[in-house]
Amino acid sequence: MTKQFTYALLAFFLLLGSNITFGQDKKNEPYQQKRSFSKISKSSYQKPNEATKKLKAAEKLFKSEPEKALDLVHDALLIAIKDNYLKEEADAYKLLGEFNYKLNEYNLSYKNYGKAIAIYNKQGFSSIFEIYYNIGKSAEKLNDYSNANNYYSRYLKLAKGKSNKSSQVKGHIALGDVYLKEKELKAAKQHYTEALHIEKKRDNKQGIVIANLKLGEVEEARNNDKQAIQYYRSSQNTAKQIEDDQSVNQAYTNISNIYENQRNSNEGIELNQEALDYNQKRNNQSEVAANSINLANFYIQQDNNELAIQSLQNSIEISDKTGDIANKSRATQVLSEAYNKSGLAEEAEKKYKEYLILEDSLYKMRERQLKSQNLKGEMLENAQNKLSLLEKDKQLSEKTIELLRQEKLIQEQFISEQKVLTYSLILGLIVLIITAFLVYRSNKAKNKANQLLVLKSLRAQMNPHFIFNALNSVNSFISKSDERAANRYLADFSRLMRDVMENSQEDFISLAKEIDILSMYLKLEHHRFNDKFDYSFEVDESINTEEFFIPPMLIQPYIENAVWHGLRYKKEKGFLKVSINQSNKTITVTIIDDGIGREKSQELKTENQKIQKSTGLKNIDSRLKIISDIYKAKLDVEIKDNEPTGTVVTVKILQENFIKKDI
Amino acid sequence: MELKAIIVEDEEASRITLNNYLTKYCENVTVLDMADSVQTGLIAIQKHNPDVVFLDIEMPYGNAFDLLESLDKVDFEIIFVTAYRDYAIKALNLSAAYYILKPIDIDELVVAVAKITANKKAGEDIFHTKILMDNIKNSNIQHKKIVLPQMDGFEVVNVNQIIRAEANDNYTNFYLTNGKKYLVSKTLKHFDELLSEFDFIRVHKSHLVNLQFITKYIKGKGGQVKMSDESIVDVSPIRKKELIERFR
Repeated sequence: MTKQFTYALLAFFLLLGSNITFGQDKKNEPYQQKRSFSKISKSSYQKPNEATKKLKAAEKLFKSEPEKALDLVHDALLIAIKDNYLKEEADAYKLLGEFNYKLNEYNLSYKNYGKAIAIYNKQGFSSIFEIYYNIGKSAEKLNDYSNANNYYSRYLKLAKGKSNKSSQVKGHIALGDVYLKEKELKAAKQHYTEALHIEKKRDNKQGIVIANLKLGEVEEARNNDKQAIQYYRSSQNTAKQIEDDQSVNQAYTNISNIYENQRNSNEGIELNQEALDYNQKRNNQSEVAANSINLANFYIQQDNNELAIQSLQNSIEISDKTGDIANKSRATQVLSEAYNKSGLAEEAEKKYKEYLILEDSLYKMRERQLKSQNLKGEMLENAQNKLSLLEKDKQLSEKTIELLRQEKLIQEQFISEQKVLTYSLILGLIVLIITAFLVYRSNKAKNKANQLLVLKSLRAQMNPHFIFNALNSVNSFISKSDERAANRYLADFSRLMRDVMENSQEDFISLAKEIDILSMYLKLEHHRFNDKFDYSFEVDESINTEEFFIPPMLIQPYIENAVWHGLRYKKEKGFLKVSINQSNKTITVTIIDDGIGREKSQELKTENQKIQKSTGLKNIDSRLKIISDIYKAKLDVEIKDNEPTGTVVTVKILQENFIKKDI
Repeated sequence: MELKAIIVEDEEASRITLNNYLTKYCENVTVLDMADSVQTGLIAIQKHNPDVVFLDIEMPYGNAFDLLESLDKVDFEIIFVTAYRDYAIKALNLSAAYYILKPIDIDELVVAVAKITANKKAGEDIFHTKILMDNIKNSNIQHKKIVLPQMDGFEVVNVNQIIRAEANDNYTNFYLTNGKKYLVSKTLKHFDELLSEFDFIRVHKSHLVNLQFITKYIKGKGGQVKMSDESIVDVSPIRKKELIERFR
């Protein structure tokens, strides 16, 4: 049993040990995990304002200091990306797209708008729809009409959804432009007409001007010159009302082109003269110069070179004043042609040379412009590069996040697996403990059963000497032919034996019964040794002998010992006193004899007699041990010498332990 | 034939009982004296020189063997009286001493008295007591002697002289190291009980062998054992295990 138990214990500690280490693993890793996660997701809502602020500042700064503006956007983007604040990130891209567009970097513009849209869509920021127009514009600039068309259509749809009229017009115009460029003239006209319809409805003059102009362009493309001119005129009229000279002149230019294509110099001269008058009245010097050139062209067509030259000189004079090299150059070129046509070769050559010089300076000017633009573009490119780096960073961090997420997932899986493992270990442990306990208990039960068996065999023994001696006594009566005595003795003996046998089946008998047995036993022993001792047997009357239970035949062996080893050897008649008393829940049985005492009794034995052992007391010792083992009963036996001779045996029985029968 | 008897018995009731029965059922026995202890017993024996002493084994102040040790010479027959089968019985049996158990069985008493009477008539030496005393004093188990009653008397042999014993109906054949063979008028069971404390083992219903003299074990269902005198003894299958255990 102990072996099994040791194994169980060993296994228990083993499991316990492994469990502890598991527990530590579990504790440490996910804790760190959590930390690294919080680093990313924490504080997102503390900095968006800063990013927004930067973006706003950039917007304002762009015109004057585009580089700084870009830096700001960059910073904003950095914050937005680092803190995973998506709205700001998208806003930054949008702003970048705008900057790109303004710097004619349509490709970048398109890309950045795309990124912004992607984020907006993902996050459901549907209110920001203007960006569809912007990206459409970029696509249009890149001649990517199908995408332009798509974005514009979406824009228009959103504008309609929001009943935003001006946006609707913007959409229609933009779509019209794309269709026009794709030569889808019918569709183009439809959108422009729709725009015109809306603008007329809300009486937006500027809009009407534009819409008519656009319609004119469509008709021109359809070679409906007459209708085209009508639309241009209509646009022009409205423009004049709102003093939109640019649109007025646009119409003049467009109409003039139509006449030029028709080689309709009369109408052309008339139109340009009208324009010239209008612009002179409006003091649009540059336009006057341009009108004069157009006029001169038509004069040349009519071979009216003199008028042409006059008009051109007039134009050059104005251009000189305004410093309008472009117009001057154009005028000089046409002038050279006019001189040539009028046979003034020298003048023509001189003007041509002048024209070349002007062209050259114009070219240089344009180059300079281009250069500065390129510079801006480069700057932008740098910024873009930075951004793409940032983007990569972001992708990386996204990847890291993804990785961390996966790691976390794995971790969680691991933890759950570990949990299962731990639980199964605990379960195993419990099973083990229960098994160990059951084994222990069954062993204990077995032990107890064994002890009970031993106990039964022990208490079944009445000293055989006593029995045979009793029978001897009977035999002696028979031999004396004393029928009455033999019968009486036999009856007494039978009663005693019956009681002993009956009670030997029980673990406990009432004290009353034990007293019966003892008095019977004393009577019989006294009968046999009546010449050796007298006796008294006293029981405290306060004891409830019926309710108090003791192991059977517990006291008899001590009485037997007193008679056989003490009193029997005494020369004179001795006395045996047996008393049962109660005090403090303790029953005390006292057996006092004034026999020869233990020591002398032992001395009297010869070598030959010592071979034979006294079994009675050994028997009762074993019984007492087992009884107190099984029933946890408190039994005290004290043996000491009596004065002057003899032995005192005190058996103390703690009442509590024996008061109930079913212990 | 008249027998002078003395009773040594500590209990009065037992003395009276024995005296009464002897008077009633053993007419050739005359109880000259009764003693209640070893000391008084010795005095009585010396005084009366009895033919037979009825001697209780357990008495206070010394037992039967103490009494016998105190005597220079035992020239009387003894019938031991004992209350129950104790350690002394084996010694008594080994020397084929006479004994009766208490409570006294009258038939047993009569038989014992009859045997002693017969011995007295035949003028047999009284040597059981000597052997008994030898055996009791001799603690070395191998030097103990056994009395083998035969049809015509007794044979005393050392226990370590016996090679084996074989059942022969209600008799037993003893084979000794000196090559002699005795037919003994007691059952093999009787000797099995007596000799089991020595190195004897009942290998078969009909065979009791001294382990000291086994020279060989021959395998078989139960197998056989060869003894030092070349005799071969069957071993019954149920005793085989016990035999082999003894050799471990």
